[in-house]
Amino acid sequence: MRTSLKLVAVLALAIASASAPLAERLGAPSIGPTLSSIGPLAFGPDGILYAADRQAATIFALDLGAQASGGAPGTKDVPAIDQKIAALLGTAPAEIRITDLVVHPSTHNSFVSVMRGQATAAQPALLRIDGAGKIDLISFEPVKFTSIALPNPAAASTTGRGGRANSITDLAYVNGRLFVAGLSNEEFASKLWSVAYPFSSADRGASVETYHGNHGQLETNAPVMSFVAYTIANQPHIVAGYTCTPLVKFPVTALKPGEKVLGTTMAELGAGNQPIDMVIYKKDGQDYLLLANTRHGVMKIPTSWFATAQPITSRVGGTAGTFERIASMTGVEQLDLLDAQRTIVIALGADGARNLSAIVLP
Amino acid sequence: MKKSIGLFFMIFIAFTSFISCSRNSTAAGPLKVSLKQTDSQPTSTGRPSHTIVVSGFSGQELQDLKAAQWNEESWQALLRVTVAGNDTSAVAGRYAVTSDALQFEPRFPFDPGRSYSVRVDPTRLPTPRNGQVVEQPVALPARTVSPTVVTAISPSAGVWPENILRSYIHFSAPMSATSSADFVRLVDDAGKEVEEAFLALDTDLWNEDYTRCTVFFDPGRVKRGVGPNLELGRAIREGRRYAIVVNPAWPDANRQPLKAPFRHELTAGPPVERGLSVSDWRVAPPAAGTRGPVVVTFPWALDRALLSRAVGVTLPDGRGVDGDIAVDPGETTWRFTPRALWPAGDYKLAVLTLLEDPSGNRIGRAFEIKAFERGDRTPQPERVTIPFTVK
Repeated sequence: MRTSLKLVAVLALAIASASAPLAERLGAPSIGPTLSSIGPLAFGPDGILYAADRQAATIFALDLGAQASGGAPGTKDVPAIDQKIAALLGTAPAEIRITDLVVHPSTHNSFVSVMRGQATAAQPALLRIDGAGKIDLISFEPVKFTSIALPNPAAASTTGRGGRANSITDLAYVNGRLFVAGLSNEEFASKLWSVAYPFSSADRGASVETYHGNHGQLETNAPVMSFVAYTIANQPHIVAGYTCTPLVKFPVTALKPGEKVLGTTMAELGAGNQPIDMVIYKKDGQDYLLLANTRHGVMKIPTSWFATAQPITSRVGGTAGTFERIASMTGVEQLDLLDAQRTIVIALGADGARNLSAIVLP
Repeated sequence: MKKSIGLFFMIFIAFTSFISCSRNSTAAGPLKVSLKQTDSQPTSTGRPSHTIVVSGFSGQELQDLKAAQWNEESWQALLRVTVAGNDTSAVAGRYAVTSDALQFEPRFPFDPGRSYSVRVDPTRLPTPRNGQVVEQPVALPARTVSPTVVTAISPSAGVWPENILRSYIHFSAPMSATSSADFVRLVDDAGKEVEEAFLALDTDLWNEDYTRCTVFFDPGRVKRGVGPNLELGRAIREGRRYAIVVNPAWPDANRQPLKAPFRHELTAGPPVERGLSVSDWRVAPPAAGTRGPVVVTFPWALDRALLSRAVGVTLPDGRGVDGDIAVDPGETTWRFTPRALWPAGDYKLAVLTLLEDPSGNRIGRAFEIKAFERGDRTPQPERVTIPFTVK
């Protein structure tokens, strides 16, 4: 999952260079979206599902209607979910790529986005897992939707060959705005992009350049891989995980379009590592950030020190910051909050299968 | 008594069969499974769609099926299609009853070369028919395709800056969306792999047709003074020789391995840690009345992909000039050939400031900057221009 619905802030980012006019489809909802691809997902509190379509560089807002809920509320564990999804989609597990997992805010059914097939022949699929463990393929045909295009990549040439593409790494809806983070396969810059929802021609979205301090001397802008919005000292913030792997906070009020924003590096989570997903949860009266990483597993990070965190300005050779590695959670590739007591994950098991399972929050 | 009931039942079946036949003359026959191409138009996958057709139902059976208000489970009990060897779920799709058959169209087209199992159970008809369950494998022929090869790597030069951030691997045909992480290695001059050289991302860093993969070096090792850099240093060190090695097991879009391994030898050169400055560029204008190229020469190699997009030629009022862009091997020379003859006059070379070199240095801004210490919070202008005159 790419966002926590408990968030109280706003922000968005995208890595595109963003100056060309948007080609959004706005206005009254249409029926039957045609997605070219499906990546990160995020639910709004009203059950609208936001889905990122990388190939079309478009964000879809989907009203799933009756398909939002299955026969049973909640989500039951599904061992080897990749094999079952592959069977349902008529192919082999190696031919599917699970791109995100999110939980519906009221039914607590889980939704999984999948790309089936390879290269330009790959097709998007959205699946719902209910409290009985039943997997249903969502039909896009009856789904009401609106959509908005991400900013077009700038081009100086009218004839240049296009090879640029955004990988949208994260998506979040908070307080009426949708936030998008991404990574370009060409330029390495990072921008936060946000747009009001419902989409309208009055707000075409805005980008902000974000930086984080590496140490006392140098700053770079780099791609945000995962983020959540979180209130720190009564101020809405974005807590963002970058490649290799600083944890950075930005006050939302600083995210003014047209300005560079310097975030505060609160922690260094280790080398050779990428953040995958993060959620905020409460346990025993304390707030925690649960963060899944590619190399360093799942980390539980108390947020109580976020307000007073001093920027890391000295050179850090290993890790820095207060966090606890959750050794019992291994192979986690997707993560979201299932309910107040449990997280739901898709994790790669020792046998090579991917398992959907609920785990009591650590 | 039992005999009486049995006799009555047989008479009832015969009677209803007679009534049925009188309503619809098509008689029930052996159930047969076949695969039929349904669309002359390719699907969004670029492949035609195929439907499973089950024939041999009587007219009455088909009428009953048309009238049935069945849910998915009931249809699957009658006709179940699964991936051979994986019966954990039936293949999702639509059932349709035509005038002479029951059809199943999968939600996603069947994969060429993959075997599917079709199971038809006549006892699950609305009016159950006695008979054997029909089980039959079906498969579309596998495609025969030429193996894919690596056609190029950029930077194409034999010297790469020590702080290189990004390279591109080009392929002759679309690849699978598989990450490069498991298939691209950096080896040193002793043949030993340089561990953790690249950014292991699970995100999709391919171009639109999946023929070019972006491989990022770990920026944490590139950036001076951050944890990975302090722990491990930069992946390549100035003066030493290395090779980028591509494992041929990397599957292409047809899940076939590459035809051959690929190896690019390189020497690590000094790092480039300053922003690009267009004032360092040499612009050689063409002659008026010709279609000769504008030739721009850079002091060091720039990013191959961005050179195709971030540099162009405009008229003084900013309108673009149509033409074709070429980048010479080594990525230090850019050529723009117009579609029409050059009229004499003033032009501009337009350069987006997002243009980078392979180390992530941009126009006017190095990859690692001290801008905030200087209080510079002003965003870069989107583009800069270099005037030139065609005479």
